[in-house]
Amino acid sequence: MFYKNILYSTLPLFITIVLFVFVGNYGIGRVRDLQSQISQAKSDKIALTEKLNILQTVSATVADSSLAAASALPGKNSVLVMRAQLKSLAGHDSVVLSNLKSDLGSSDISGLSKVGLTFNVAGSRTAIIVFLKDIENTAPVSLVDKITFSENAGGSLATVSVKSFWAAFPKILPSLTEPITDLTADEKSTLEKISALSQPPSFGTSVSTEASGSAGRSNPFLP
Amino acid sequence: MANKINLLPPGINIGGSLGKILKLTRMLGVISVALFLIFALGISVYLIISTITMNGLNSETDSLKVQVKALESTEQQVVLLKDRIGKINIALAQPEALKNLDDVEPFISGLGPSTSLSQLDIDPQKVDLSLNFKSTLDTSTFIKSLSDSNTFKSIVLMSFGYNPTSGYSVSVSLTK
Repeated sequence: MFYKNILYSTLPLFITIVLFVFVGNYGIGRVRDLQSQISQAKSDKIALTEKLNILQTVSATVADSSLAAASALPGKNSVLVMRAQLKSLAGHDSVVLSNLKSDLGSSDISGLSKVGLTFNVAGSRTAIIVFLKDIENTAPVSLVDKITFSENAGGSLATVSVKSFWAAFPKILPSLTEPITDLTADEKSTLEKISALSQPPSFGTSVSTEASGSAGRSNPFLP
Repeated sequence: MANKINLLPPGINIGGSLGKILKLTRMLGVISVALFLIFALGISVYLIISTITMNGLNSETDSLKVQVKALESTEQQVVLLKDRIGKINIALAQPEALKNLDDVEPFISGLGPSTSLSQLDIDPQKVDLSLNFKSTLDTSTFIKSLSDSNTFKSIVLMSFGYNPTSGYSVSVSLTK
């Protein structure tokens, strides 16, 4: 009877302590889990709302801009387009283009590839200078690397090295909940520049790339 | 005077300090059960509210995902545009010779008809210019225009020659 009395007195406290430990452990774990899920869902909601707003805002204009950008920096080797552009420019600027050669091209770690072209151009000094300046106002993006200019009684002759750029298109879209940002002022300035470049006559948006096995959404750039 | 009557057998009676401790333990037991019930109820309510909030957020997020997914082609164009612009900026930051041509152009376009440009080498780092002048005046005018200008940081006269037939030949190397 003595021990029964002690047991009756202490058992409720003991059971409650045990319940506190187990229920508290489980309950607080669930609460923390839910808090983290809610916090993640809130940040996803904010990111998605911002993304949706940006996409709705730019949807009317982005098609032309991306087309101009893809023309300025093609997804495939730009050598053929650039050769055609140089010939077209030469005719337009009344200079004679000859000995047009191109190398095999090279890539760097940023994913940017370039191909070198060399050629001779003959004509008046003014026409050659106009032609050289027009090269950098033409898509795809190209830079005049070296000019060797000589003149004689017959006219002017320049040997020119140009590098033309290209880069493979991106293969995956970022995850749905990854935030997207609008163009910065610097990016807008670059977009203005590339939108002003004269386009190759037969430019098409060939944006097909190989499928990627990496994480993220499936390759949207595939036809 | 009241008498203390104990009807229980003497071995069962718990008195003294042990009795007080047991009484306190019983009280604590009751309080802890009450606290536990409040705690359990609180956690349950919190979990229910949080689950409802979570479900609401999930349905909003799902709806937004559907709307974003519907604009996937726009997103693809934005991603492509940003990728292209980033890489174009890298390309345009590379050194080029045309800036040097722009800088030297005012000097060669202002040359007189009797002056000939025999050689002009332009690369991103420097400009090498060779000219033939018929007269001393043209030569000095050209050199003065170069020295008066702030366009080039360094102007090195590489060679200076005179031939009675062709006149003065001047070679300069210009760097910015």
